[in-house]
Amino acid sequence: MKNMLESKGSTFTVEELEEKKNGKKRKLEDGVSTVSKKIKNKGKVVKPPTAEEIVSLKEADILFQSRLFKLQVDEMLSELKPKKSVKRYIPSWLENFKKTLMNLPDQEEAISLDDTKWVEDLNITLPFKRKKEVEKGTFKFMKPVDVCTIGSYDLLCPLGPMFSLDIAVVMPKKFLQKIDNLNQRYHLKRVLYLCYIASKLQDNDLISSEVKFSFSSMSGDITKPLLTFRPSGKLSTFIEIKLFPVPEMHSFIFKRFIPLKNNVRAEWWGAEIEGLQATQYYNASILEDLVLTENHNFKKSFFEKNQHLREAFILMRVWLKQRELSQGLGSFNSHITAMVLVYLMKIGKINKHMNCYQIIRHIWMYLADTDWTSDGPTLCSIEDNDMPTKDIFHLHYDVVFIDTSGFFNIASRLNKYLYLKVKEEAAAAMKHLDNYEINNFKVLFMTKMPFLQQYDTVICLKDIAAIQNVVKQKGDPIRIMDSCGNPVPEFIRLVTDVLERGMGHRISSIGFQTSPDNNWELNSEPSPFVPILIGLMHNHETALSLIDKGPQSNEAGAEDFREFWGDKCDLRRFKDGTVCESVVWGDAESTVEYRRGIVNKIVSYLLNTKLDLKCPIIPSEPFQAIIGCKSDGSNFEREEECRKVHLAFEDLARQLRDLPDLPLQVVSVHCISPVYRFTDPFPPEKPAFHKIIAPLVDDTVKGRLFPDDGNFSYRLQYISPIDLVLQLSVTQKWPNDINAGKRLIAAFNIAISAALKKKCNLSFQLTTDYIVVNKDGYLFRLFLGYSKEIGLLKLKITELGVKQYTDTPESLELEKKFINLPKITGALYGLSEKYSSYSPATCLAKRWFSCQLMDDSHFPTILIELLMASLYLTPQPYTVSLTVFPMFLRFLNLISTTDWAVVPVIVNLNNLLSKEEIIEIEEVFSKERSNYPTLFLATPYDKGGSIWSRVAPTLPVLIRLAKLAATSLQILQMNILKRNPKNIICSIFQPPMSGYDAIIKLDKKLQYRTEETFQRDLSRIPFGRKSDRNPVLPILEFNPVDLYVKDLRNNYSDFALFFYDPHGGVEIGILFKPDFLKRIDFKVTSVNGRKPLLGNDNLIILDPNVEGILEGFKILGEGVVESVNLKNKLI
Amino acid sequence: MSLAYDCGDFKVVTMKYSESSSAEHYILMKEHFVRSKCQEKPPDKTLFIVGVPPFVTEELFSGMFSQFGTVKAVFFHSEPNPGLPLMNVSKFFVDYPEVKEYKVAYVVFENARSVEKVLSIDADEKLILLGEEETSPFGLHRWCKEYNRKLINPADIKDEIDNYMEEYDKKVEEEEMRLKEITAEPDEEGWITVTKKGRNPGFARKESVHKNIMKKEKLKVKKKQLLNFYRFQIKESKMNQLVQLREKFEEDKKKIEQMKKSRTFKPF
Repeated sequence: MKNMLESKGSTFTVEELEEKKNGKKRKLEDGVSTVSKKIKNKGKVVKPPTAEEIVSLKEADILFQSRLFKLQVDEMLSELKPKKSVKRYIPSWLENFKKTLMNLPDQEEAISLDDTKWVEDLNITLPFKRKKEVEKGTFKFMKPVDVCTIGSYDLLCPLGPMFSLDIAVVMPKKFLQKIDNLNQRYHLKRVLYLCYIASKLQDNDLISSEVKFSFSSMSGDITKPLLTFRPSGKLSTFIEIKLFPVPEMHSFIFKRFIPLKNNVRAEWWGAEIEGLQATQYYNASILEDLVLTENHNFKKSFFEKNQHLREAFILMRVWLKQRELSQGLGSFNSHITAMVLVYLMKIGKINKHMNCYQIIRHIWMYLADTDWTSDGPTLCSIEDNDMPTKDIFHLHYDVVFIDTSGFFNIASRLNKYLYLKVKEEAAAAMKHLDNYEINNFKVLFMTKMPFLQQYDTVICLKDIAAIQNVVKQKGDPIRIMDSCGNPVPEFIRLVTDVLERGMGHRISSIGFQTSPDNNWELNSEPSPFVPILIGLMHNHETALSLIDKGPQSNEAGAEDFREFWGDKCDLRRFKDGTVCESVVWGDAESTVEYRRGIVNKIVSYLLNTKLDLKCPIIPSEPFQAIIGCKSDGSNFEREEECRKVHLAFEDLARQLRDLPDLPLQVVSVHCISPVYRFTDPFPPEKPAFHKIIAPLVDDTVKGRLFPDDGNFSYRLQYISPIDLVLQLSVTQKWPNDINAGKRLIAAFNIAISAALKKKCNLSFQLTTDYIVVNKDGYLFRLFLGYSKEIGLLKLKITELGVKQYTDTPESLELEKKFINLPKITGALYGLSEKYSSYSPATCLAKRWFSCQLMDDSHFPTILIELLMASLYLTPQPYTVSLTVFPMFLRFLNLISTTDWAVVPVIVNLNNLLSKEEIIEIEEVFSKERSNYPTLFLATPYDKGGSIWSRVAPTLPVLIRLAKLAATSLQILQMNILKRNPKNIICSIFQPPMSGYDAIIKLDKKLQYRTEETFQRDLSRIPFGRKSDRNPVLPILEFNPVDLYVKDLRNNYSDFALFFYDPHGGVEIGILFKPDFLKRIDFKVTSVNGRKPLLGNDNLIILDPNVEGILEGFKILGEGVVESVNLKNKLI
Repeated sequence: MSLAYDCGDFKVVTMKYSESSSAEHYILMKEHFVRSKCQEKPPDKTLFIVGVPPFVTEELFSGMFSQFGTVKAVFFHSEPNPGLPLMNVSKFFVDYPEVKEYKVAYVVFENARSVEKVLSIDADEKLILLGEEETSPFGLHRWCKEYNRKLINPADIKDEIDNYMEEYDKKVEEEEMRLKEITAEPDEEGWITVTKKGRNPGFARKESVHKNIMKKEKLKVKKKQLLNFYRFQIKESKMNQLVQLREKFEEDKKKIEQMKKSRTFKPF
């Protein structure tokens, strides 16, 4: 019976459900009723919906962004829940822990605060050095008044199966003396209190003995460390305990800590500062502890009752954490996040009927629309004359968010730039939610956004001594005193100020990040927060400009400008007639390549002259250099070269269209070579003239030929052609036969070439398929096509005589070449004009692919271009970057993390696809996944998404690439911040030769493209730079290695895969197909490449004849192959 | 395990590329015999060989087998084929690509005795493909030649094209005439074949045209029906909506399941 129910699926009727309950009763009449039910169920039986079901079905549609979105949110939330078993253990552990702390005996005698020897005896290093005591203070441990949990665990929403558990230890009022608010006495006592507790807990059973105690800082404040350790037993892998010592309520009067009060005396600090300066940050750091529990209880009162609020809180934190905004110095931490939620609840922006999706939408809206730097919110609802006004808060802090007490600024430590970044991200998040072109759930919550990938330019500063020096020299003494001597906040302020001033309109925002690692062991110095990363977001319009225009010379501000820039500054007359102060970074002939380096130049200049920071590390710098570099060390200006080709092409296209006296007019000329799209890593060169032109034959009609005897072992310059496709005016007269069509095309070729020679005096070469034309020294290949040809190749006539059109490999080739590629080329050309980094980033990606030995036949290069284009068209969660480095990192990330089986790539070139079309493509894709290639990539010109990836890449190739990309990414992110990143870059562009079954070593002399490789050890014969004036066209597209690999693939693709670097590789990696290596039973059809052996019982089996196959490789490559080595034992 | 010398009716022969090479290749051969006869491949004088490696050319094979008697012709096919391979008539146009990869060969001898001779060689004897004086036809040598071959002189090719096109036009004309004739005359039983020519041309016999016609028919039928007239129809449509909602829900759930499999929902 159970089986029967299951087979019917979920649509059984209510009646049946009842019967299921009374299963026993039914057994008697089983025989009869099942039969009748079966018949009934043949028709559609629809279970009447319950009200709840309808609500839940419709809710997802109306209240959430989409049903899928809701399901994904649910799924993620359940992943982030702590394990049930863990949850069960915690209360009892806490109970015991609390007992232990509460039972600690009070110390009997007070110790002077100057005497910290007892701490050293405990082998603990105090995290900050305090100046000598002036007035006497004492430390005398007293057991805590209370021990209670705070933080997200207590709010019932810890983040993740592994989380940290915050525990507040309330120090009694008596423990603190009246003047402890002054001169870091509170801070010192607090640390000593922790040290004392640490010493008492050291050998406790409740605490894991494997992991040592450590200090950690809260939002980067080392003067207020937390004691961190792990509980013993099962809990130790899942939770980390953090102890927050806080003073008992009203240990101090709040009034003492209002922002404009001074609590650190300059005489004691030892700086020459006049009068009592406000120490707002110091004040806030004590206030924070005073109001901690009060604020927490306030939060708790909201969170306890509201499940949706808790969910939204988790979502918010995931969102922040992925953007790396919730950790480190000056971050938007979870305390602030929770307070925002509470605030919105309090003012009624969100209510208890909202679900988490609605709540988070409101938070983003709120964050995006408000400005805490000018008008911060307040949670305080009491009026008190002692309370500072909001204006006072704004005067002393960059960002303001006042807490329930009315005295404390929750956002006091929040950095201004970080806050602005959060605002920006919130606004972006709102946009992402409504964007149908992207997977918004993934974009908002699942994508990690490393700092290096977020910003256009990243500057890395890691020398702590230099940082301290800068702060000493240039820092504001009051601020240094206020931050208790921690140089990092002041340093960040100095650097960001200088950069914001100096970069001006070139950048749109600044961000920074300190080292996320903020735990240190008790007996070591606190972590110094290095490396510090500063990120600059470029302004797309102005980042590459050559001149920084200042104010007019007679205007106010001119003086300042002059002073800031010093002798860099010039007076210049501009086109609009104004005479302005200005700084010039390049002359009018500066190339794009040069302009791209300007930002880095200014950064180096500013840091060097203003802050005396020598050679900051800018990780993106070497990447810009390597794109335009050849193996012999010479540089070329790639994009300039491309532009020259463009000019030649435009001219040639015009000449072709204007050709007179042709039977059919040339209507359109399209270029399909990557050079037109600016995505050729090595744009075609003009043939150079050189003396050892070898025994080539100059045939005046045919062009330059090889000697007839075929003896030729000279190195030639490799010249790649530029391919054009020509369309002739439409006529019905093309023949219905492929071979006849071919002859006609050849006849047209002859006519066109003759006309070109006569009219435009261009030298040419002819083959049956195409014409080669020399235009301004560049060699163009002209292909003619007629639309009927594709149809003819597709045509099949069925037995009934019905005409059927199905794709064949040949027809697809033509379709790509004559229809699809010209359109894509046009669109990508537009893209590279719009985003100046598209071209170099794509070239870098292409070279990365070729260095991984993945050439066109494993991963079509046009796919690389399209995938890169997808990062520009749908850059979310990022924005498009105009520098190469972040785009390249994102590209590697795309290759390494995308699951191609479930993700369709839709490249909406020129925005030609409508919303409906995109949704339709996605639907069809998910329904009929198996009908499509492993990599699905749709463009407006190919909605089926398979034309480019039908044959390659295969799944194994994609898997291998994902691994390689992940490794490359890891190497880059781990090492890029070191001083000499050039070697690291080379290491990711080094072909990995391990893992292949066999390797063919080639004669280096016959690899004509060695200059394109990254390996430096290949010497090259330099060619003279004179261009070839010989009217006879040179040898075109001839590289023995390429031809050899082509031969191998044509002949042996059933047996092995071949991997080589088309940019100058001299080794070919071979992987045998697993099917070939198997021993199989005899069959006449499978004897190819195998050895028949007599097995047991006289059965004949076939063994792979590896030796024979390898010899075959060698024979085909006569003269090119140096050796063929079988690497590992195969069988 | 030892080499099998006989596999079914095939004889296994060991072949070496040159005297000095250590690798061995194994080809299977037997007398050519098929029902459909072809003049160029007389059954008794033809040797049928399978498992021929890619580096074997017609010249190399006829050279190797000439020790058994005069070789008249060597034909390569990618699969066994009783007929003749399609030959390129033109010197310039490659209408039929060369046979690549492993292939089957038909070696035609002058005498029937040669075939017997080949099939009765010693099991241990090894045939050498490349004679001592011969040079390898592969590698750089070949690519250079190929490059030269591709380039043409327009003067050489013009006549060939003109002739071909003339012939082609003639053929097309003849075909048209034939169709016209068919259309005009009823056959013995009085049927008239409808073609695209003539006064009443039929519609194009394409798959797409067929489909279009069928679609139109369906639409016509649909137009005649009223969909929300009876109560049961309204009820049904409501029910269908519910079913659709549920189905969509299930679909999304499935999608989630799939995503879960590929990458769990762990954000960090």
